[in-house]
Amino acid sequence: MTAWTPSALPATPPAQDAVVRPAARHLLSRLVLTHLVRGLTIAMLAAGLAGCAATMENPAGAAPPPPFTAPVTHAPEHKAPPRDAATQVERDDPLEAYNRRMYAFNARLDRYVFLPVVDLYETVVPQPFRNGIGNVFDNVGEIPTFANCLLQGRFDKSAITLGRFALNTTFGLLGLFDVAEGAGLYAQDEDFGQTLGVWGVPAGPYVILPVLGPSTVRDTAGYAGDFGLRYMVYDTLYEETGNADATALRWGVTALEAVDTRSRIPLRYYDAGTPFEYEWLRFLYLEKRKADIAR
Amino acid sequence: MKPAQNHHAVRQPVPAGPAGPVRPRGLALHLLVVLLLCAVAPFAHGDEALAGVSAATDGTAYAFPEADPLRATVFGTPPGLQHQTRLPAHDVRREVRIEGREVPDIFWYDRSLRYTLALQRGPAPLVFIIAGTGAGDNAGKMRFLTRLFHDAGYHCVALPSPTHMNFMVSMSHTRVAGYVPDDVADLYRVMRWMLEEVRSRVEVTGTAVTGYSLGGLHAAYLAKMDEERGDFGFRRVLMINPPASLFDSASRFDAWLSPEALGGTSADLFDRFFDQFADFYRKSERVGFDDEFLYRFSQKVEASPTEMRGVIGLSFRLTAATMIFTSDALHRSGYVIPKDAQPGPFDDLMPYFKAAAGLGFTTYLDEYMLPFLLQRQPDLTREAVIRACSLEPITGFLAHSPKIRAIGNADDPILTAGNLAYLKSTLGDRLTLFPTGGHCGNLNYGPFATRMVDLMNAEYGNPRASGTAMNSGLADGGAR
Repeated sequence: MTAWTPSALPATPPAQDAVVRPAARHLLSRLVLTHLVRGLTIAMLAAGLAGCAATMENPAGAAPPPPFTAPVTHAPEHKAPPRDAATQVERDDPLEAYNRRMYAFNARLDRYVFLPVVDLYETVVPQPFRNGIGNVFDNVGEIPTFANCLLQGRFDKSAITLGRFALNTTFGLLGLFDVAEGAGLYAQDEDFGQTLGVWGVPAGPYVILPVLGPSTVRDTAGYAGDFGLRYMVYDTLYEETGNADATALRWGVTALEAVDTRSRIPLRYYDAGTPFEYEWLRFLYLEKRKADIAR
Repeated sequence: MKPAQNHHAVRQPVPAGPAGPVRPRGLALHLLVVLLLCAVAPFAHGDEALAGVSAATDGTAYAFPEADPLRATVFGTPPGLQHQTRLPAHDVRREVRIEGREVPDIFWYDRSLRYTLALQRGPAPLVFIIAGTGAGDNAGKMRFLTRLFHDAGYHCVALPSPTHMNFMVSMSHTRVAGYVPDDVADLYRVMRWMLEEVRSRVEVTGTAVTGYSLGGLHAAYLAKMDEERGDFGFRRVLMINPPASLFDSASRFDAWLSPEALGGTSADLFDRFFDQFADFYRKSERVGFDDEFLYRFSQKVEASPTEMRGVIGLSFRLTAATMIFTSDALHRSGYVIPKDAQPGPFDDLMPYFKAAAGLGFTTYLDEYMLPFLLQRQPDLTREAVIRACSLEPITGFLAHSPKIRAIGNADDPILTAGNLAYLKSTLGDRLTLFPTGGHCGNLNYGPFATRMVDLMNAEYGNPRASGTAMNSGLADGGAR
């Protein structure tokens, strides 16, 4: 009972009459085949296993708990709690009523739409290929990043970003490989929301965007800016390559980018093991953006 | 009990593929994961001669680099020294719910229990893995243990701790977490169901139970219960960094977080740590929070032993806050939520978070758990409750059962000197003690991980025939 690993799969016997192919290509197709077989099997397994929740019969567990009233109460209306670690996590949230609803909506959308697609993507496309896909999208993203570095007057970061783009586009085969990182040029993370922050625009209220999740009014405006710029970059790319009218291609690329993005974010909604996940995430998002603007 | 944040270590190690590692992409989400693991985590821990216990360091060189048990507990194993589990992992997240169980709307997302299956293709022994205090089936340490034992050729079922909110909401009969006899009864029932489930898919050639921290204590009780009822026939019980007494350890955490011990409030402690973290991030050359980042932060962070203890105490405190709020909302008992004003799914929970975080585990025992238990069993005493949440009642079983093995560290900060002496005298050479590592800080350090598998294999004869599944893991953890 050996465990199931790619190496344990029987090697595909070479067809006797097959045209001799270059070794590298043969290896590649074998790799793809192995992963496909494995991926599809796991996908079927996962579909079979993970469908909907199983149920167990347990009348005692279904029964409501015995009535219980705590002999003392610490309910907040009785006394304001003193300043402690939990009070440090609190943040203003004027849109909270809307935000929490959108948060729950996003969680459901994630669960029923995005995650199944991401699972399939991760099973069918092997990690090295996913790395390459992610790198290509990141490489396109260097252009808005570069623009924002310039807008912030950060010439050090602009230079790094420009260098990364140049290296990765050429030696990195159109961004497929992040060779720049090996050369010590680390990816910068600058967006238009941060640029607005550097310019002194206040963050405004915390807001949960549909699909995209945590943001602020300022970061939403910034997102629109980045999105527009990115769209222009893609538009230019499509035109240059003679694909200006290839609607299917455009949608395909957009979809792939969305899936790639989601697959690289480890968060699973309502899985942090605390009923205060929304409060924690709000605190962490706002603090992280503050640090991002300061860095 | 998941003080360190090794979640990346147990995610698929980035293969040295042609494209290299992908840079993690923004959002506060990484930070969330990191901080929640750090914050929502602790259970956490002595130094004495190893006389009488089995020598942990035989054969393999044990050179865990962090001599400070508190830092080891909080920061875990440095990336380059982590045991590397194999790719790919075959774990599948599954859900089960109790038919007809009423769950308040506020917990709409937790109606089903989430657990993880990692099965072999052929016949194999099955290991149940129980999480530590407040941890889920997918906590960093859980994912590591699941992959470790799966690599070693076992079927694995990973379960959240009965003190995890998801378990409380979906499975707990009493909906009051922390009382070990009730929690173990819940676990036992759920595991029996899961065994059937696994048997319907694959052949199970034997069963074992393990768990870290509080989950280790649960494992021992599960084995005792199984001895009486015979549903599983566990042949091996592996307790990993178990506490000897939940309340001894909880009292330590509460004491560490007291204003007298801290010389300030937990707010100041929180701010000091968070500010250092944010500052480190601001000055960091790279974005993204991976193990490497955390390791560099751990080398940089300025914190006195008092503050490190405070951090461990704080993370336990936040775990307790979750338990308190969850139980109160399930009972509408009026403890931190006004009885007549239950929050809905879209209501602000901050006031209750603050109220619950102010309490701590020992207060919860006296004001909530004990009164609840007294309602059912009026002759119960505080002492009896505390004793029932320790290993003491099953000392005879522990001392004589050949199934039992325990592994831990001599400098574990959750253990009092008395706790450690108890474990040694009760378990003798069935306890493996490493000299350093704190509380679970060396869980995924090569020699510790290898030893866990060896202890399991000693009973089941190494299900992975060749034994080559283990790669010693000093390899490319930090390589870029």
